[in-house]
Amino acid sequence: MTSTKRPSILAVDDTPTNLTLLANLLRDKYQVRVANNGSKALELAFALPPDLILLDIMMPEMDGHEVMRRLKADPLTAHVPVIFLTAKTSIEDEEFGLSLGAVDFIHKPISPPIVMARINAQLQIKSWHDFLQNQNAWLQQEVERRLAEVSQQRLALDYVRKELDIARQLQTGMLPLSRPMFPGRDDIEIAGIMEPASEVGGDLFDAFFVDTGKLFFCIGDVSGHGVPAALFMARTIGLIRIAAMGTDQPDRLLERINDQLCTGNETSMFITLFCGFLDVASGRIIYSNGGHCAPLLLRQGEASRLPIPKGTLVGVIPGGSYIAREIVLDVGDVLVCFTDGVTEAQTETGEEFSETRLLQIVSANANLPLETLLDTVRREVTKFTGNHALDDDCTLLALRRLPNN
Amino acid sequence: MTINFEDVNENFRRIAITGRIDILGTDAIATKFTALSATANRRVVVDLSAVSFLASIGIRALISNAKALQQRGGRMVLLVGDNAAVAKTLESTGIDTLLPMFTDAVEADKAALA
Repeated sequence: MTSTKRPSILAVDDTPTNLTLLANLLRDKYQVRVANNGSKALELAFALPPDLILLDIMMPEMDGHEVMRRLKADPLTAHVPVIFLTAKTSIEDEEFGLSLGAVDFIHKPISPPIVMARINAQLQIKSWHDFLQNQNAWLQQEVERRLAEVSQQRLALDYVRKELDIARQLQTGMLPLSRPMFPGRDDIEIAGIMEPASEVGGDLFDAFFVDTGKLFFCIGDVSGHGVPAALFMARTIGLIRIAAMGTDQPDRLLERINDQLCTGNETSMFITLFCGFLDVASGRIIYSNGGHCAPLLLRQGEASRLPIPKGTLVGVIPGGSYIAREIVLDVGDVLVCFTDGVTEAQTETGEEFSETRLLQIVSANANLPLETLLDTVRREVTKFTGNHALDDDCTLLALRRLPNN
Repeated sequence: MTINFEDVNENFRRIAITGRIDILGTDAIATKFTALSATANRRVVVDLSAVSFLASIGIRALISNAKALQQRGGRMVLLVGDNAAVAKTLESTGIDTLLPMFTDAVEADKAALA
């Protein structure tokens, strides 16, 4: 029933005067069709289902009840509201009529105001019913459409997760994480751990021999974490490895890496970097720093900060220069490099792990094998923060000169 | 995390950032900060004295905007006031050639306009 069209009513009665009465009553407000027998009524109803039917019960050949049954049997007309009109007044008749599916019962002789009111009420109900049906059909479609969307998004998300998983493995593969790192060497002990805050991280460390007696080592922290930092980390570690084969001056190395990273770096990503060369026989370390936190030097059970030269973080200011410093690592001394993901790990209340705490823990565990020392530090960070998730990547690299046998 | 600015004159702008410049904080102000510092030939003082925490992502935003400003002939200078924590963080980065840092507001203004 559209709001612009007048509702249509089919009036059925075998008595012509009744039909005329009804037609005259309804004509102004509604489109009226009439039938004086059951068959004609059904014919008209099936041809064009009306919005409402007024149905006399007592008719020859086919009575109103039979017409009702047939209307209900056909899906085309089953939902058309039917009001019985009858002189029959018993309760049983009314009950029976309603049980067939009639929506109302009007007694003859009819009272025009009552007829109009009841018709209006039923048409209103029908219009709400039609509206709700359309609404439901539309909602059903929407739900299906959205479920399909969600399903698609979930697939995409699963795919991304799988990719990140692979990326994590690839990244782990780039770092010297094997234990022990150099099984063939008895003059030096080295261990490193890197734990990303998300699937992939922006920290790096490295250690390798540039010749039989000289070890290059470094630790770095790319700004941020996640995929962009991981890509920058991968690029940097490649450049470092090449550079370390071409110079044994850590300041020259940083200058070269810095210039290389400045090109093609539109988003101003940077890395803080500490690196050095250790002459294993003498213990002499020549080292340089680009904005990274000072490593700890553990000497006879006492940990302190290694004095470091000032240097700009690497990758943002082309042409920057760096400074080298030297120190001698005695036999038994340990150098512990770390990233600020360790010292800046926080509790819920914002208290930081801090360098002080790191110094204490390293001193207290000075005689442990380095792998155990690093694992202990990592465990202490978890204990301290009360959290298993890291806010920032945590990386540690430790090296110790062993006595010659 | 808030960002406010004051135009001393049409070529000199002071920008003040307060709160935590971490991932969420930087996200919240990144666009506005870039817009405020991106005008040609501007001299800009960025006041960080009320910043409680400066993460590397915040440092990146500062560097990125300082470089962009420099390319357009402008200059950016940092004011840290007596905020020792932020001063320490910035000092270890060694970026003072690109982004000079001052504890005194008058000195900062002078350096920006020099």
